[in-house]
Amino acid sequence: MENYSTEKQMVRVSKLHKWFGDLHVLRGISVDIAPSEVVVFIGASGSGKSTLLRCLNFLEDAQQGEISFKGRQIDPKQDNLNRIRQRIGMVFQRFNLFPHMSVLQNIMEGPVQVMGQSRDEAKSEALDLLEKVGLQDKTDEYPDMLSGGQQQRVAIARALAMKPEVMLFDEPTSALDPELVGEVLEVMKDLAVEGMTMAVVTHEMGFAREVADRVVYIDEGEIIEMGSPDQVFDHPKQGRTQEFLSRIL
Amino acid sequence: MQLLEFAKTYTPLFIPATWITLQLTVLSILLGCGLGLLTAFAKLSDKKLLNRVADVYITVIRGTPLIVQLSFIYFALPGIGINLSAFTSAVVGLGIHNGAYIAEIIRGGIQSIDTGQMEAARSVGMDYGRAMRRIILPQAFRQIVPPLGNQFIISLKDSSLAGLITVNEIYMTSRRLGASTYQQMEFYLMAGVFYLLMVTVFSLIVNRLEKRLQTSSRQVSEVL
Repeated sequence: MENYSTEKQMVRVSKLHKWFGDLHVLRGISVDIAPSEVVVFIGASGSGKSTLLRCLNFLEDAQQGEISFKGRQIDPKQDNLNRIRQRIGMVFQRFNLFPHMSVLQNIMEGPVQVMGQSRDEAKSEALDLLEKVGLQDKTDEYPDMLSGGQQQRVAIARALAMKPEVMLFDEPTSALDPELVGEVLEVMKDLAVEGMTMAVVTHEMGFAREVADRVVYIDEGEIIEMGSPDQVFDHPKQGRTQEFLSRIL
Repeated sequence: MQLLEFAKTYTPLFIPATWITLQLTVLSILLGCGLGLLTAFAKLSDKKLLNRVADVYITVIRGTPLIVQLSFIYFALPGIGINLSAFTSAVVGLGIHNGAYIAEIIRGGIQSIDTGQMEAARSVGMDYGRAMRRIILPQAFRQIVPPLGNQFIISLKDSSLAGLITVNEIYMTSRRLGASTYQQMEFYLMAGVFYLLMVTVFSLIVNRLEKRLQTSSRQVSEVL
């Protein structure tokens, strides 16, 4: 299935297993993500797709299998995960903005505290990012004053401020009112066009069809089907994929 | 009228006692906060041994009367060669006692913060300590202040038990003077008034702090 050599992959996941207690949530997941590729993970809730994404950022510890980043295998016990996380941006379903900080501070926090950037430099970059996500007029607001869609766009800017090489999106629009979903997807589309490497867990099939280079269908902790949007949405080979798609489309 | 006259005569005798009560309270709170912070993090740690130690400490202290703890330190420890003055024994005993309660207050405050906050902090590359300091504690602080203020008031009143291990604080002073002058009513009333005044001032300070936190909780992160 894969014609790429290891070095060409941004992220390589190999035979990943994860248990929560007795619950076997990931059952040998192997998937690669190439630079600038947008991979969208779909599947029912509880299928393990969010867990997979959280494993990529080492927020969850997989018990078995390997994760490589830019050709280097990561050992969660040996490697400095803080360093690795700086290069992997994460956007959460529930935004998780820091409520005690203004929009600007939220975005500057990582660059100043972690990368040691000067406040002035961090501020000017944060302002650029806010413009990019269309919130330049909200710099001094606090998160609780913003709509869900605006909060999520700030969260994306916060992740981008670390200049990550990969962005992980964990159901970024699932907590949003329907009318706010579009503005967040728009920002994500722009990122994809700019060539950001992205792994996205979502229920937004329209987005998957339009933006994804590859769609991965996960069920019960296993990859059932993987391919171009055309292939997975229009010509699914597996019965389980067909059944899932017929339920949601 | 008689009571006022009485208060005027004896208040000077209560001044040094009040000073000692204040010292006991402040020092035991400081010690308690230090111990409480350490214990809270020990309980939150993923190291089983630290959890255990913290659990035993909290269980023993909360499960036994303060007067037994103070007596143990002052009367029993000399038996194994540890001799502390009455005042030091009281500070240590009250501090250890406060620490157990403050630990639970701090732990509760930290655990009340959504786990997504820690994840978000870690996801931008912060290590655990920095995430705690910059993201979790400033938010937890607001939750912690009201019960912590309450604990401070309790420890002010608890300091009266130090009298029973011969520290001349307010309670012991009133008991001594009451017994020797047969004016029990007057002296215990006076002790009560002194405690009430101090607690009132204390409450005012805590309330004001709470108010300020409500309006400016956002600046807490700048302080930490």
